[in-house]
Amino acid sequence: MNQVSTPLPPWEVPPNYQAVDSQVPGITVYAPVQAKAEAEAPVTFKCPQCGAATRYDVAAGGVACEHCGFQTQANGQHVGRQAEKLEFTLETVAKAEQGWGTAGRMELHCDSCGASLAVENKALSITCPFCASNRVNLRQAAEDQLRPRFLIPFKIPVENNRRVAKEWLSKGWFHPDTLGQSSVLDRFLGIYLPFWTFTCHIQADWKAEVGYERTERYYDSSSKEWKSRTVIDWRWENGRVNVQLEDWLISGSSHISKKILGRIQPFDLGDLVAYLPDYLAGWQAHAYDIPLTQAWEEGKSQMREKARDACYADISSSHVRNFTMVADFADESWRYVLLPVYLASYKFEDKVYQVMINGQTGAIAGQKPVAWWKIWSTIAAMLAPGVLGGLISLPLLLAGGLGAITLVISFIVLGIGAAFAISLYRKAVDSEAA
Amino acid sequence: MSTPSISSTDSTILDEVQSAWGLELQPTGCRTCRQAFLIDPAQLGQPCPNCAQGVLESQPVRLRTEPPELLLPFQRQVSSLAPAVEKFVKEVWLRPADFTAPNLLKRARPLWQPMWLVDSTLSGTWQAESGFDYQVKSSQDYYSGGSWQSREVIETRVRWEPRLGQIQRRYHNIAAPAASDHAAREKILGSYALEQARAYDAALLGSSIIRVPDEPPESAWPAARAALDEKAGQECSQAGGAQHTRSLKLQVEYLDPHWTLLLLPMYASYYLDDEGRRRPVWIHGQTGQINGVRVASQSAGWKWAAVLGGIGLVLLILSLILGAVGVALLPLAPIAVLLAVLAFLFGIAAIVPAVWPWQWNQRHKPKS
Repeated sequence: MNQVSTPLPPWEVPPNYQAVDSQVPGITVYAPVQAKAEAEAPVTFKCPQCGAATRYDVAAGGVACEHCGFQTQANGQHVGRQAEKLEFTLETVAKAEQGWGTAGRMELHCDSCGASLAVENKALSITCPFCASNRVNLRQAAEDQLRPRFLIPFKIPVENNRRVAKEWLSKGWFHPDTLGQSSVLDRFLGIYLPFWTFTCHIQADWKAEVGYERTERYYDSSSKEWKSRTVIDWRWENGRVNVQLEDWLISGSSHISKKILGRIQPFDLGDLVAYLPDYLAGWQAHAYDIPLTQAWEEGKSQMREKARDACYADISSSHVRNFTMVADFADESWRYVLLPVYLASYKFEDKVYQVMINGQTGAIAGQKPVAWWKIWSTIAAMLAPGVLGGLISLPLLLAGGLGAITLVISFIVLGIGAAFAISLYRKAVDSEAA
Repeated sequence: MSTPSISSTDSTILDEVQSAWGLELQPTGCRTCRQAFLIDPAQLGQPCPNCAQGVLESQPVRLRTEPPELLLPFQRQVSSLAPAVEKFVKEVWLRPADFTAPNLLKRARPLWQPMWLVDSTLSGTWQAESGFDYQVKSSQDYYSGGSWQSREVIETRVRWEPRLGQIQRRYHNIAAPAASDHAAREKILGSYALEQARAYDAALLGSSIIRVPDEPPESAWPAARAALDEKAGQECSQAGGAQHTRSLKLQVEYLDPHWTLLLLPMYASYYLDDEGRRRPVWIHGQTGQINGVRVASQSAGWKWAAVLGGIGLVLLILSLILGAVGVALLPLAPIAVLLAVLAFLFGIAAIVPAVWPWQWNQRHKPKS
């Protein structure tokens, strides 16, 4: 055989490469072995020493047995804000729109005691009510990317919650005096809630008529004298603003009060770790029921409003009209994460109120009953000086003299009182709202 | 790495009219450009089709005994080239008297340019980054009149992944230059549609001139190897189903190389400039693209300048006479002024043809 080059050394397929189909005979193709979208098998957490159920222990930072004290560290890789972000590929979006595929509840067989359990469809973990064993990975997503890949582990031990809740209940003067003593908040449900995080860059091009104030002198023919007045000169302007929005959080659960959830934020995504079933052992975790596309629409509408605010801030005058803008989204990416929240509820005068505690920071928020008599009394007290002043001023005005001055002062006092009263009323309504 | 060569058994020396490649061929050469040609014996003493400066004289030529494997047939006949040649000529305003379309067409001779065709088996390994297209959903939102409108935008992006493997493929007829000026000629005339090549047929050559390769396979091998690698790279990319490839690395042996010739069609013609020197013009045999150095005629420029300058001078003399008469006969004075202005304009216009040929020739000087 005639050859024009030196013989080559024998070749071996490198490790972690596997053969893939070749479309050309005579050429073999090897690609890196893909980390397969392994269907994570359900894991049952049992103590290897005593056989009792084990659960994730916040203080120990790992899975622990309450009976014999056995502990193992949960070695989830800390990824923080560097946690991988995914793109909105057409494939992913199509799969995300399919959601979880089934609705309602699913049947589960307990490996430990053999009991049959009916589990809520969105649950990712469960504690068997018969043998108390903890199971994780109950669901398999339609797409590997749509399973939880990152989470923030609980940092606040459940024991702290009662004290925090007690202090929170006692705070505030317009709640019933007995609230702190009579309400009992002792059952806190630690749950990992689903969240979508979105990151994108918006290039916003705006165009508007911007008005600039100018003082001009004019001759008033009625009073026959020169006066000054402010006029606005309008001119068309345009500009470009670049807005980078990172890790915008949108809840993936439709059953949790967004209002209360908003009040216990922010979460520090710098604490994100790679998903490990260990973190969920003995804790509840829910999969999303708001699909990616729906959450992105919500996130996008919030983000473009941010871009609009940035455009307004770019305009050098407060007088703006005929404002238009184009928000060009780029480099959009998302993550699906689980964040720790304690849920609790308490009864007061036969009414149930919700409370949430941020499982990472300990921030607390929730519904609180309002002692409305205190609110109305305060509002009456706020409005009274103005009303009384007015009542006194009117006869004085009719009689001539000082009436006009006191009437103006009364109106001002009434206005201030009304503003405070409205603010207080809103705060009170907000306190009871879910 | 060694390079291929043609063994002496593959070639023969032609030193007189001899039957080769199915034709009676006269080996010739040009003393000026030192290129060798095979011609019909009747064409001996004709101007060189390559440089047009020298003439074709009998000289021994080393020739592959195996006839060319393929040729690209002429797709343009000389008669069909008249409009393009006419345009090519008329772009020069003041041209030499000999530089005419009929002259160029009359002197156009079919010339076959050689190119090597290499067959070789590539055996070894490859490694590359393969690019796969995928689409992402994005959006553009418009705010106007207090409300938002959203428009979906689909963007195509490339995902790069490493790929590697083995290759054991034989490639046929990979073209490599056989003439030292191939790249320069291709640059001015354009490339050839090699896929239209057909099996060599001596009958198609007739009394054409065949240029003998001046690049032996040893010199053409780097270009041939690059072409082989490129072809192999494309197939490696295709094998993995990728749409893009980058950072391709081939570690291969080139086995069983086989060299043959491909003949490319062109016409060679020439014209005479002011000094009577022959200037070559070439025409692509497939596309009809024409190229060659077009010189402007300085003597024609001087002639035009003299005519215009002469008219200006006559007008000046007339204006001076009328001016002198105008002193006595006042109505003639304006005519004298008008004639003086015209004389001035003709004088200025006479500069243009004097300068234009020089400017044109400077601009179109052949790059050495």
